[in-house]
Amino acid sequence: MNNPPFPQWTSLSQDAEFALPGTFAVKSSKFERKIRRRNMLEYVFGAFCIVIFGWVAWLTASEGAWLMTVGWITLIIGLIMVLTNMALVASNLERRPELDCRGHLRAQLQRQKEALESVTRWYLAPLVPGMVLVLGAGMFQAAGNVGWPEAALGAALRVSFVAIVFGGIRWLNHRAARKLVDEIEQLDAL
Amino acid sequence: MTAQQEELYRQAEAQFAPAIARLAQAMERQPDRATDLIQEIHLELWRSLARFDGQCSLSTWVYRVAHNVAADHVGQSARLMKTVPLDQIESLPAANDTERDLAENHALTRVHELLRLVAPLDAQVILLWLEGQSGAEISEITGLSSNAVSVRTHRAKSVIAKAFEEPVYDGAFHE
Repeated sequence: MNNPPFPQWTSLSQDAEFALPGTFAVKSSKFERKIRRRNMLEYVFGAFCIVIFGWVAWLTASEGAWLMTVGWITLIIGLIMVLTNMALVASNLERRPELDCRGHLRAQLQRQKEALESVTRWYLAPLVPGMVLVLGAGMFQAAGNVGWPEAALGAALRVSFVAIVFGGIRWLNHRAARKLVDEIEQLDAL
Repeated sequence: MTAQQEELYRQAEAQFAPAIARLAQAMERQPDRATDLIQEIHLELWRSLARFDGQCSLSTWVYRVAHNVAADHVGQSARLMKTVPLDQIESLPAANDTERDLAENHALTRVHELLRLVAPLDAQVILLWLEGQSGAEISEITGLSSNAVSVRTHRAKSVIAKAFEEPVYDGAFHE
């Protein structure tokens, strides 16, 4: 300590001590607990979706709707890819709190920005093939019942809905990334 | 556990345990969360000291770890809160809960309010300045330019000094 401007401040907590290193062996940090909890939630949600999609795939297979079955199985594969990508993004979180404060904060913002900007590649794209197959199979099935014009119209509506949802997810993520770019630029200017 | 890690940890305790406790109490309003934060800093400091290579002083290393862990601990909630630019603050904010109302003029309580009001990097600079770190040291710890540090410490001094000159609540803040 060099020259504290207000001794009232530095007179506080003078009896503070450090925790004993032996207690750290069984302790995980809040950061680690947060990552573990988040991963667990994602895996539970992913497993739930896989069970539901698998059940639908089994139902469609038992009715002989093979294209639809392939679509649902492709969706399951896409979902597994998304979960794997999420785990990879999380595993890239190397913690180095000894960086200077600006560098530490900048690295976090940069990592979040990159994850948000690339959401199309690692989150949306793996789900597209399955989605196309399921929607296409639905259109073929409907065409047999109501004719092609009406089936195509129904498929167009469903595709539009999915496109709006996917586009919305992309837009929201890119908007959040742009805010982070602003924050990073402000940090760089300091 | 290495002997060097153990030795550095003991040195850090001897020199910085009170400063880390003050940092945690300043950043976390709730006592139990402040205690959690103190333990979190000790844990991360212990782990990080296994990587200590002497490229910077132990003081710089300890303060960086402590402030970064504190910023992460306060984390999302602080980032979602609207902070006030330091240069727009004319005087220390009043304490704002019933218990603290009893110490309305308690300068230290109001400093805590100020630290929770400003952006994390501003709070870090103010805390390091209160701990008596020089401009060059604050610059090395935070990574901010010396000019940015100077502007912030000058501003903090003008805001805080007046409060410390006021008659202080009866000494109970010494615990």
